[in-house]
Amino acid sequence: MRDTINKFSKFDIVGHVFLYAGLVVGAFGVFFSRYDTTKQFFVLVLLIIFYLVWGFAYHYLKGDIHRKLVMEYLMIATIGIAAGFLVLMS
Amino acid sequence: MGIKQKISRLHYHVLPHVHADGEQHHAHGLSVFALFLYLQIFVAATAGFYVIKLKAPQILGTITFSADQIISLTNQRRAENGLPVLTFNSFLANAASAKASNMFSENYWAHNSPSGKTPWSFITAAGYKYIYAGENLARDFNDASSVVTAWMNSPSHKSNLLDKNFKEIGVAVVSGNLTGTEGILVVQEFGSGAGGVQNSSALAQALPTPSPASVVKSSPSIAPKSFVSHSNASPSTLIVASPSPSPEPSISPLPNPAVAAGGVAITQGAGNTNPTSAAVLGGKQFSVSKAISFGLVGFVFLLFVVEIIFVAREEKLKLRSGVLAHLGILAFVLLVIWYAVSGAIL
Repeated sequence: MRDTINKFSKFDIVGHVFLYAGLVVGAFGVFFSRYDTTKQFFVLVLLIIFYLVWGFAYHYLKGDIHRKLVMEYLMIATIGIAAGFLVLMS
Repeated sequence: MGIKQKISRLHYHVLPHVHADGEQHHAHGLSVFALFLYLQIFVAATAGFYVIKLKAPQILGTITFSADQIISLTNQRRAENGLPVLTFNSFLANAASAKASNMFSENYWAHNSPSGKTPWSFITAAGYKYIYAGENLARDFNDASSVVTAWMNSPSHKSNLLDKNFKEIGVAVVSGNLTGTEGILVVQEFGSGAGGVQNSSALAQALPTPSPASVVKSSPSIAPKSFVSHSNASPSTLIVASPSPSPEPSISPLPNPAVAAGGVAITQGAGNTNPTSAAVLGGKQFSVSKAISFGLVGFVFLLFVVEIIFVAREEKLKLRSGVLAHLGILAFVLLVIWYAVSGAIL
């Protein structure tokens, strides 16, 4: 595990801290919009857009972006929105 | 490939592995194709619920609760907090019914209507003149207990429920389609009057306590009635409750639960219970949706967790780019699903 962590560059660490900080802010958004499913869904969509933008920017800057990875990000983002829609909006 | 060989490679579906060519592969359960299949399950579930709601909503169960339950639970919470219970007031109940009716007819989810009607206009129009008045709204909950719990979890709604200035209550529980969603709307009106009223029997004839959706829906507006008033409240209550009465009620900031103070108090005596109740089909949809979503997203999340653990233990494997980001967003989605409650309050 330590070897895996050691393989992270400063860029990886800063990038992921930024992503997770955004997710924590989103978690507060979800918490404070309880009993308003539309707002909660809005927060979810915002966070998923943030995740996508972060992912594309991060992998572009890292130089390892490729079609399959983009598809993976898009699929997970769509699953997140579909799950949120099913629970909060349908 | 023989069956034995296929079985021996089953773990490839859940674990990252290295193929004969030396290339590292993630679990097949996390391939783009597999993710696409999971997505199709969500699409099928969403479409399925839509069709079921349209053709046979009874499959998804029935939600039913009454205004009596809301009043009883409200009084229970007040008693737990050492406050006197609220007495049922048919004028406030009619105001609540009129408000609910107006919300359906103008199709809005707010304390003030698009045409500018305030909660107080319904209370006044129903013939209830107040010193203090307040309003809580709720929609799309599965039971009365969840409604009152949701209000108690919101500081501004809780302050209405536990306001010592309120003496009376009226509640409407109405089913219907509001802003495109079929569900149950709850309007809770609080009030404190200084006088008594009014010709309550005349009101009862003009506006029989509405039975759920049909009566309320067919009566979008209730015209103000004139009443013969008689006082049944002590003047001291008046003085204490209304130190500086004003003809126009002040309105608390919206969209918080509405509270007003002021006005001249002439109210009626309490007594009968409110039979208003509502039922709506499709009650289990939320819990089934939640279970499907949590199960499926949780499964994908677990596969990523397994991948990280496995990669950390195996020297020859390296962590794929993006896995930590996927894990983070999936954890967030799981949090949203877990934290979601059916219903909204205002």
